[in-house]
Amino acid sequence: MRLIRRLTSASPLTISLLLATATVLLPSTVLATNGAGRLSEEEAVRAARELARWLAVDCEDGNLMRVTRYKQAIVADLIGALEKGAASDQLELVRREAEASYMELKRHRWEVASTMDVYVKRDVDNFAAQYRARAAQALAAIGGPDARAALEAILAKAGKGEVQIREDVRRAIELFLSKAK
Amino acid sequence: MGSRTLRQALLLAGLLSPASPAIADKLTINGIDGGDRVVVLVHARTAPGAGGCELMEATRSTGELSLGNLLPGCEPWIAILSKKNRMLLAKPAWTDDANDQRSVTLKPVIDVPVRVWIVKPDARDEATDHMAKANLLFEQNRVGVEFKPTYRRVTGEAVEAIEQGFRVDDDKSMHCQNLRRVQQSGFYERGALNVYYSNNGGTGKICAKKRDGGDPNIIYIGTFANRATLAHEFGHAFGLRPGDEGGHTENDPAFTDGNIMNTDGKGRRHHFSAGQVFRMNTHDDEFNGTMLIKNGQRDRTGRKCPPLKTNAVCPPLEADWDRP
Repeated sequence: MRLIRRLTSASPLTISLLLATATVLLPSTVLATNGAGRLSEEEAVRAARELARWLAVDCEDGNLMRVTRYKQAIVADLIGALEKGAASDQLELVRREAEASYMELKRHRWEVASTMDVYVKRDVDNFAAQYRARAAQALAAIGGPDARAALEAILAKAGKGEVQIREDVRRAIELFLSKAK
Repeated sequence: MGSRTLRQALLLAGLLSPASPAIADKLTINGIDGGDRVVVLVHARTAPGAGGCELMEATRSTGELSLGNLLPGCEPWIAILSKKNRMLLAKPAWTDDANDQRSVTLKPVIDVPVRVWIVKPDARDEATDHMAKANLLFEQNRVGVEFKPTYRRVTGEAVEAIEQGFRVDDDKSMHCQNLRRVQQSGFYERGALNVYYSNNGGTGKICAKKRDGGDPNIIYIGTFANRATLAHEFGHAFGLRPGDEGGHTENDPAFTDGNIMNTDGKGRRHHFSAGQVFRMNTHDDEFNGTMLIKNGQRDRTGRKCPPLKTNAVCPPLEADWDRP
């Protein structure tokens, strides 16, 4: 599970490197297990890759099933993603790319309505929001007591102000919780 | 026939390269706007016998192009992709003569009407920025269209009808539903792309699936969208769908994560292949195909080219030209 945790918090630029060495780094003692059985090393690496992808997935068409098929084996990592949110290096990458995109648009004739600060902040904030919401969505789809408890806990923490979650993310988590198995 | 004999004799004598433009079929491209080096895809018979039909490597041109000696047969076609013109699809007939001269004239870029319906307060600037990004990406990739948006705030009871059209289903996925209510809400225009900036959490969704009501003119943009989400959904609207049948590219090793139809969520996506551009302009089937044809912005000379279908009239999805 340690490897999966590292992958979900890694910059997209480093994920492929981690995946390339995953079979070396992954000791059998940390292989994910669930009620349905143990994931092989190969499956664990694949699960890590799918999980990292899912948390940033844009068009979800058919993608949810690709991550929920690992069921309880990835719940702990999804809970980690829900609680901690996107890593700072991921957000920094999004910020840099959004800045470059803004400058490119300004070089062309297309009308841009926002200032660069607004344009960049929107993409960074939306990525962070999406990351947590995707974790909640997958947890709800997989279900089980741990997943439900995590969804309830994050909402409780948000209610107390112990964690900052955007209003649309909170509503999404509530919705997913209401439909959780 | 005489020129062909001469060509053969010169080739045999080593006095002429097979690619020599001295004796070759020629294509003249008129009407290129903006001084673009257009991208030309040619499918034709390049050699006699079985296997002589091929999609030639994509070439670039500013107006004059030598093609070697293209021969009769093979359902020949030419597609020309341009930044400032609509994609041209022609079916020139070639003869045995190695001096065929063909000429085509490009037409202006297609103006695509887009009705942007603002449900989420303060989404107007966001929608404008996303539209700018989509227009830039579609121009850079020579799709031959320009999105012409209008923006209008959704008010009254229509808000609920529209928001209910994009919901989490029992399988925990986002789905479109009750699209008839959306279509009858007063905030929908038939024959145009309708984009709804919703308050619902989510990124982007096209309502093309039959289970969703099947209207590829309806696109939802949720509150988690990034700057390339709208361009991605426009790709779906133009026939690059379903996602799991080549509409999405992340599982195809021929594509990088920079492809706009990759679902990995990055705003950095910037690339359509020539095979994707071709389909966005031509794909026509019983599942609505590209909205450019369905909405009457292109004539019905399309062809059934879903993403994963490759044959004499459908180039491979990954067919491309050297960038930039």
